[in-house]
Amino acid sequence: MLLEFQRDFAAFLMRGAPPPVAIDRAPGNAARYGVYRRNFAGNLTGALGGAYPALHRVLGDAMFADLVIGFAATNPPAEADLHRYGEGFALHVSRTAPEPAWLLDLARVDWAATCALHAPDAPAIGPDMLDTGLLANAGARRLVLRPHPSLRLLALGHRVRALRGALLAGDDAAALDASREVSADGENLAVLRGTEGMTVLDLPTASFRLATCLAGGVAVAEVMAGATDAEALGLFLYHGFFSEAEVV
Amino acid sequence: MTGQGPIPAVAGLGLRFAHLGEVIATEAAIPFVEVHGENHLSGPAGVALEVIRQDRAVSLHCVGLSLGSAQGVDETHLQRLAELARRVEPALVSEHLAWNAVDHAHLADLLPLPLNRESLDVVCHNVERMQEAFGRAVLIENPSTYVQLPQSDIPEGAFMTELCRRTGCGMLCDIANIVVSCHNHGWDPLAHLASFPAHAIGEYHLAGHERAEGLLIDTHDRDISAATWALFDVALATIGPRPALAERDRALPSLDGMLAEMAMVQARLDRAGRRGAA
Repeated sequence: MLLEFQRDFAAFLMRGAPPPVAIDRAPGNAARYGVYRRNFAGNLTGALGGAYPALHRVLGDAMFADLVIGFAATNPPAEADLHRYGEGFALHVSRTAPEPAWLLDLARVDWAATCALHAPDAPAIGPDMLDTGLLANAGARRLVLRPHPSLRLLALGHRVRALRGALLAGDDAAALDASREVSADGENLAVLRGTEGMTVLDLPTASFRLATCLAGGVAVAEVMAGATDAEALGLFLYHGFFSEAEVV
Repeated sequence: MTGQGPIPAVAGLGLRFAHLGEVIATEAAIPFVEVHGENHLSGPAGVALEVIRQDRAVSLHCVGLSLGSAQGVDETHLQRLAELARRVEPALVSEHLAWNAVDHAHLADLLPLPLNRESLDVVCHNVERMQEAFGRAVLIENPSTYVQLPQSDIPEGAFMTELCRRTGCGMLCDIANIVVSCHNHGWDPLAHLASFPAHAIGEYHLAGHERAEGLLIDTHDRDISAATWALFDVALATIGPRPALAERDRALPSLDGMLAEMAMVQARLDRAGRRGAA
């Protein structure tokens, strides 16, 4: 009985199915059940608004809330920790509101930043690693770097970093200007909770390839042998891209 | 795991993410902080709580264990919270008489439970599981509700009394929830308060509520109402002082504003203490 009731209640919250007790059984019941439906929608809108702050700002409260309700109807949170809720929302938005075309990329950066913010904590290897001679010794050929748990590398179709910065700063005029200037020539971003806090770095293509290879576990010596942007490793270490060095 | 030891009957601070940094830095007297466990499972908020607990007692208030779920508690989530408790060693651990999960969908709210024999067995089983995982007795909070379910045939006070008796848990008495539920269902708040197991009450909550369409809505976004303060005074006089705090989840005031509200709660506790001593 209880399980049946809870399934009915969930269907009511998620999809607007009739509530578990017919709303005409008692006067005012529609308003009473409505409180739960509003709480459900409001709490998830709040959670996804926190996870997708720039997207929320660009879409506005009403449209964002509509999109959340549509998403939650088939994708309710799978766990109680709402900080981990929202994977797939970017895709849902891009399918439901396909214009402007850069919306998906903006949402992807938001989600990467959210994942980075809530990633487990780990110490980062600093640039002083380069001074230790570790790279020059015999084991260096098999030295690999483990990415910091917060590191996310994004190859985007549109240049949205400046727009996102303006949106998060609440600067509507700058955001409007930036939205007109979003180009479709792509942008390679590194998003992480690094030594300088939450960081979104725009990497040149060569550096991005380097970071992708290193984060993917390719040996440092192998990556650096063909690197045209050898100084990038110092930059990665400065920002805390890696949390561990290991000879394998 | 025994925790940091009991918290005396003092006012604490309902701590939210926006104030974490300030609370770490401030030298203001804050006897204990209460956090939602789910907000500190990972990331900087988890680290911040470990710093804060070095100087202040912590109360871990959980919102997502869904103790009323017919399908039982989510073991993964329970273990994550229990692990957090092992790191933080909270002085108090609490959850709600509510449910929010079914078929792996977590519904992000504290939903109403039919109060009957079947639910009592389910909640007792889930509370026992929670206490086992935390290695301690926990407090269970009375809910604010908006509907009276026809499947219910046990009054809330009797349900809570039996839950405490069968599991050895305590009760977190939310005064604002009493005010809200009693208004919404036409119950007498004094009788409702008196129906709870006084000896098991280990903490009080207070909060502000909204009035809409003839209902009171437990919003935690404004000042505590006069009715809630008045019922709190009755609770202090009849049940006695316990650790207490004002909850705010939305429209957060500055930390100074939060501390001012905490001081108002403390003033009530002090007054009750003086009356008790006289």
